[in-house]
Formats: sequence, structure tokens, C-alpha cells
Amino acid sequence: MKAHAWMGVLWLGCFGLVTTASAQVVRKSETPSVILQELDLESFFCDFNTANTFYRKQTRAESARNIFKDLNLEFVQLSSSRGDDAIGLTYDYDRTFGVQNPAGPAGWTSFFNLRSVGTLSFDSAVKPRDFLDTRVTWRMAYDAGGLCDAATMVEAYTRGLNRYRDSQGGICVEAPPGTPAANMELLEILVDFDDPATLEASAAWHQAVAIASEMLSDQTHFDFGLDLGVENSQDFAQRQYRLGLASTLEYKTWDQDSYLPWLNVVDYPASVLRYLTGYDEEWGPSGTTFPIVTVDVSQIVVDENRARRTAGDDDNFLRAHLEASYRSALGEIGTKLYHLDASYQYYLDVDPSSSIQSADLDQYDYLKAEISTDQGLFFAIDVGQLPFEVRDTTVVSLGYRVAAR
Amino acid sequence: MPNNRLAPWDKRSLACKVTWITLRLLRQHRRVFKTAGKVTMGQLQFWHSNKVARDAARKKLLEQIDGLFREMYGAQNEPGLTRAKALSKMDAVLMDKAATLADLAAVADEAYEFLGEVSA
Repeated sequence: MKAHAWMGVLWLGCFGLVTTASAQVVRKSETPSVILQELDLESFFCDFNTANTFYRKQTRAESARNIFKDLNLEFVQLSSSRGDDAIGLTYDYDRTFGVQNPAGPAGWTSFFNLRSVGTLSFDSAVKPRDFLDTRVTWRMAYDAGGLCDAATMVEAYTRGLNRYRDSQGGICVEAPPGTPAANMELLEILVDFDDPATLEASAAWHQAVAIASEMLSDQTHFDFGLDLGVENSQDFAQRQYRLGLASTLEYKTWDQDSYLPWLNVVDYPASVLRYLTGYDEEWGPSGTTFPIVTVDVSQIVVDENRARRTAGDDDNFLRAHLEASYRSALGEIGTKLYHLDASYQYYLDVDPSSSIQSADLDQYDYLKAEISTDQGLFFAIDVGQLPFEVRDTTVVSLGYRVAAR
Repeated sequence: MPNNRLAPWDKRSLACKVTWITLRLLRQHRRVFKTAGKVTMGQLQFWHSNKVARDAARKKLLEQIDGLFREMYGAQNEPGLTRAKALSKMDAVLMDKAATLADLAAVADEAYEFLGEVSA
């Protein structure tokens, strides 16, 4: 792993470490849902030649809404390191379909996912991120934990109540322990608090947390499956195809008293910020924010890859790719809640030739981190290298997100 | 699905109160009841920018909301509504970045009958 990868991780806790940028992106856009709400989609699908116009219109319009709902578009202003400007369009289409057992309890599920993501620049000379990725995946997923099963629920409930009673010396509601009525009594107390800190210092909150944490069990999501994709440069002059196996792993623990949250080292910097901003009353990493990790190993079929051809080897190759996705609240400023979203990607040519190694194309990585709120200012930085790129680049994004409704 | 009309956020509504406390206990937000109604799905902890990660987190969250509604707050599905349909309605809101906790509570009110709820 390259040195800047570790710097990237360090950056998660030291915002502002990367202050130089070889390119800049200033986003001035509305969220796509704002744009979509201004479209009268149904008027596009009115069919006057059938007796069942209304039904067809509704059906087609709903499909169109679904298509647009999964499409995320942002117009961006791009600036190159030489100071040239261009308008660009960032797109992200992501649709999951063909889900089997979608609402079942823990167990196996299967689904298809289609995703296409990239930035199109209207000036070929200004291309901060020259990578368009489209993929179709089929996954088998297994979910375990998250909630105690019904057989152990009452036992867990009583255990939680006893745990609270042991630590606090009493309970604060009149309803018989172990009943939802007791929780409703607690709820009536909790809704009246005006301040989060006061609420979390209350006996009623501690009691509710003790009961809920016993009802929740450590949870695991695991999936694996096939991954077919095509990777293009922005001008579509470079292209390579991908066929491989992909897998995703997610883990959460709800027991903050165990040692497991302390293993979440990625959350350490954000946990410090949560404590400093007063968002968390006590310092400590969270067991519910472990990064979600996706790994794929793919055979890359090269159609045209200038960087590899220039290096003297544009044969097909086997590539491993890791992506870790992390999200944590940071704190509230006024009425706005700010989050840190980070995504780290690592690419490895499994058996590189000496020419690829000497051209430094055998392994590269990419980190993107964004501090944002649902509405208002956001700041993002991405640093590293993607396929088709020959060197590390840093891109800074600063913008304002408009309310979506 | 939420529409452009603002869903009510009222302390007298059991659905609002239970939705608020359940999402708070599941560490999705940290607002007090009074200010939580306008919190959007995009502001909740499960809303990863990576869709694969978000989908995995959302599916589990949905089950946990349903589980705590039932086991902790004694909720049952409204007559004529299966668990699968109730989850599907709730999931449609969870998938909408702009939907608010008030929207989720409104759908929860349609899908669940909470302990002590007086039928209209």
C-alpha cells in the first residue's frame, strides 16, 4: 500500500491535511430530485389510442419515475491544474432489481444491481477524473443477527431491565417489567426533553437503551456473486471489460460495553470530533459504524488502455479491487447535522509484468471523503488514481446542496 | 411514498413517538422529539454514499425497526396488511433521500397499530 493511502486514513481525523490541489471542482448544482420534481413525467407517456390510457399512463409513468429516482445528476464546474474551466456532468445510476425474499427475516436473499457512475466533461482538455464505470452484478446475500429471535426476546428484555436495575438501583416506570406498556411509559417521559444531552443523562433514556441493546444482537451482512462491467475513459477512446467475482461484508455490534467497538479504528478520528462537538457525551468509537467492505477479483479484458500500452504491456490481466465505505455523524451546527462519508479503493494487478511494475501501474488507490449535510454546504476531497490514470491526482469539491423538497 | 404535503409531527401521535424513539435507539439520529420530524433519510446514519453499502444497511435497519415496533412497543400490523406489505411500505420511505421522519411515521401509522392506539 502506498504511503499516501495511510495519509488518507490519517486525513479522516485531520481535516485540512491535504491543502494543495492539482485540479479543482466547484459544484454548483441542485440535487437531482429537485430537477425531477419539476418534470411532468406523466405527460410524456399519455397514450390516446388505447381504451386503457389511464392505466398505461400510470404504469409507464411509475416506471419512468423509478428510473429517474435511481439517477443522480449534478452539473459541475471543472477546473484543470492549468486554470482552464469546463462544465461537466456527474452521473450515478444505481438500480437494484430482481430481489428474491426482499422483506424476509435473517437468511438468504438474491438480487441484481446495475450501476453506472462517472463524470462527463464538455471539454476534453479538462478531465479531473477520466473514468466511467458501468457494471451489472448478481449477488447472493446472507443476513444474520440484528435482532434477537422471538424465543429469546422476553429473556433479553428481562436481562436488559435487570442490567439497568443493577446499575441504577431502580426502575422509573410503574408498568410490569417486560411489557411494551412499560416502554410506552418511558416514551412519554422521553418525548418531553428539549435537549439531547439532558435526555441522554436521564434515567428513562438509560433504561430504554439497556432494554433495546439486549434486544439487538450483533449483525452481519455477507454477499457474493458475479460482476460484469465495462470501464471507459470520458471520450470513450479507452475501454476495458471486466468479468469477476464480488463480495460485500458488513458487521455491527450493539454492545458498547464489549471490546469490539474498540476494534473500529477507522472511527477513532470521527469519534473524537463527535465528542468535541458535543454530539456524543462520552468518547469512544462506535460498534455500529464499521466500514462496509466490498472486494472483487476480475479478469480485465483490455480493448484500449493507453497507459498500459505505453508501458509496453496491454495484455488482459487479473485485478483485485477493494472498496471500504464508511459513514459517521460529526456533529450539529445550528439545525444542520453534518456527516463524514468516506470511500477508499485499492486496485492491485495480481500478476503484473515487469514493464507494468516499472511504470508503477501494478497497484494504485483512491480515497474520497466528503463532509456534508443533507442541505447546505458540502466539502469533498478525493485523492489518488483510478484506472486509465497514470498518476495521483487530488480533486477538491466545494458546493451548496439545495433542499430536495 | 411521501408527497409534497408535509406529514404531521405531533406528540399526540403514537406513530410519531415510536418512530422517533426507535430510530434514536438504533443510533440513526440524535434529535429530541420536537426537532426530529424534519430529519431526512439522507441525514440518517444508514445513508452511505455507496449504494451497495446503503442497501445492506437499509435492509437490516428495516428489520430492526419492525422488530422493535413489535417487541418493544407492542405494535401489530393494521388489519388486512401482511408483515411483508408493511415492510414494503416502510422500505419505500427509507429509500427516499428526501423523505422525513414525519413521512416515515405517517407510513408507520398506516401500516402498524401501536399499543394503546385509538382507531379512528
